[in-house]
Amino acid sequence: MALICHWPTKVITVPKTDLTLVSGTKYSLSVLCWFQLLRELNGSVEGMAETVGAPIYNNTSPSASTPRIIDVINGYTVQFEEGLYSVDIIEGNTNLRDVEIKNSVSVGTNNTTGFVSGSDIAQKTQNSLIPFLFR
Amino acid sequence: MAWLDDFSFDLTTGNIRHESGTTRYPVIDMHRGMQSLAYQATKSGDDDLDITDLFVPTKRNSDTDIELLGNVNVDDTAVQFMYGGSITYDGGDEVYSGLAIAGEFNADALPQLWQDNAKLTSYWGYQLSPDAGLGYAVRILVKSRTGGADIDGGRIRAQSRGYGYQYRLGRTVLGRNESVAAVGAIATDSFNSVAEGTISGYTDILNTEGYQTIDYNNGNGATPFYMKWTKGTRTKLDVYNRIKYETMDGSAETLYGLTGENFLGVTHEVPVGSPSGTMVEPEELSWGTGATAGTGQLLAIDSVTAGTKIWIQLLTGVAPESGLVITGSGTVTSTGAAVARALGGESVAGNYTGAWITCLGAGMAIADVGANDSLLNLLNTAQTPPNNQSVVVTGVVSGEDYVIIGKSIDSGASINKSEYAAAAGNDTSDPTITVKTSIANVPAAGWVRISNGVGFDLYPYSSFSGSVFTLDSVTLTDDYIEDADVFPVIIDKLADSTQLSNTWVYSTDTWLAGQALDAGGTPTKAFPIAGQFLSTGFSVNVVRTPDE
Repeated sequence: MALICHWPTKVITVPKTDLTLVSGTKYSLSVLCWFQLLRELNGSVEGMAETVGAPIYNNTSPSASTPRIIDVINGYTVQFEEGLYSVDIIEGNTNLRDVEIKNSVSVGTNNTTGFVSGSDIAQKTQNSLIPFLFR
Repeated sequence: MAWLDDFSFDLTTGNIRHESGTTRYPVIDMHRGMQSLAYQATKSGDDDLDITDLFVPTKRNSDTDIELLGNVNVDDTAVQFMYGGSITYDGGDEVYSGLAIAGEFNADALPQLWQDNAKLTSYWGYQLSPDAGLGYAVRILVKSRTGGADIDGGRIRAQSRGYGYQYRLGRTVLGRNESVAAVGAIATDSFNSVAEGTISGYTDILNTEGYQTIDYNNGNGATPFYMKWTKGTRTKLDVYNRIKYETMDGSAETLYGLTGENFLGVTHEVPVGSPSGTMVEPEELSWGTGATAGTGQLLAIDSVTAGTKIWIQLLTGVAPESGLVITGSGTVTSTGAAVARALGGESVAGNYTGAWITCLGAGMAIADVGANDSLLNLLNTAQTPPNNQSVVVTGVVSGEDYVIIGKSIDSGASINKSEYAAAAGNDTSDPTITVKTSIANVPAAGWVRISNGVGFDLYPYSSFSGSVFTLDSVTLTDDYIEDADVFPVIIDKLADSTQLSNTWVYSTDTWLAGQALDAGGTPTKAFPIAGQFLSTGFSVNVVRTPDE
């Protein structure tokens, strides 16, 4: 699948199939994957005509100390395919909170100001749980 | 008297002959010399006449119109040493007419004379007995009447075709006294600049002779010409020089069945009918008798078996009047008056000054001309090829970069996606897209997008006419509503080489907008494209910035 855009209204729909199932009704979407999906949409046959001078997104590449940042811009909004499930946006920052069309899908963005990686998150999660586990 | 020193007279034969010397004399000097013989007491030397003969040999009608009486005569050699008038003899059946060629010439640009479709042998060089006050470079006598009949009605053509110089001609009708053929001062032709020794080898510059049609893709369709020069690997300047080379003084080339130096181009067009047999291009035609007689070289006929119009170079006599049978390999009958047409100024194909302004019927190969050229067809209508310009995108990676360029109405900020409104009835499987207004200012072939309500579907088109885009080997895949947005796209494809382009007829400055983007294997940031399609076209080099 790929992102679907209703170009006249600039509404981008994220199919559930583009998400990674974590467990049960919990899904994740890495910012890198989000970036790739948006890039494909922007560069699609339809997207090429629609995005001249007004791209869908802005990408700030990650560095050693900062995460990737993907902003949806130029009036585009995003909605996840309707359903009772949650999506965690991981491994980077986005402005999905600002451009999201809210529905029954629960979206967590987890933005951070520092470098974020899977191992970092795992370590930070472990550290945050320690006080509770050993008190 | 000096004239008598150089000439002899024989009373028995009446011969006046040149015997010695190089001095040239006005014809009045001959009259005065002969009169002095008639009144001299005794004959002497080669002057076989005195007063005892009781014979008046000449009559002066004016200083420039001398008649020889009785059997008195002159010959071609004798008249080479006289000028400034005419000499008539044999009761008026024989006439040497005075001819002055007005102009300025030189050793490389000589004045030549053509009479009765034949070139006269020059003995006059570029200056002989000139009269600077009157602007005459050459003053001679030319036989204009013999056996009681005028030679081609007295018509004579003076022309100068020295390679590297302006080509000019002047005509006059010879008779009594002195006639003037004004050719003009011959200057160098700055565009006739390719060395003769070089251009003589350019035999790959070819001319297609005869009636033919050429479509310059300017919307006028195919129109008739009788000449089509093809430059091949040469330049337009080379073509012009080759044409002058093939038609220069002394040329050994043959054009339209005539020697190159005798070929002029279309002098007349004649409406014809009643065709019989098959006419041949080129061939000599004849018509009429007496005052209506003439001959001409057939340069073009709109149908060799069912012709309705012929284009000729008049060779002798007068152009055919209405109702005359014109005979060549077949026959046609003139149905109206012949129309005289202007010849090319600087060459038989017309003028060249970096661009062509051709004379009647002179065409060039389509690929050899551009928007600055004007080609006059046989219908006397100038054809100007369109200004084909290219939109070129370089710096792209084949198989990676997608490029889109469309027309913009906001100075290149975005593509105008609503240039046209779809007509009703653009449905699945249709091979066309019809819009509500006439299509203009788009490439002859390219891409067209039509709104499906969610986005725009893309179709290649191979041509357009009126308000219809004809799709290129595809059909519509959807039913489109009336008034759906439609817009043509100049380039809209994934690169299949390192350069993409499309050709477009420039008609007005047009803003373009677009982008180049690799969303695939080696992703790049969108490279924005904005600029104007001008009379010189549009080009852009894509800078690929990684987007990772």
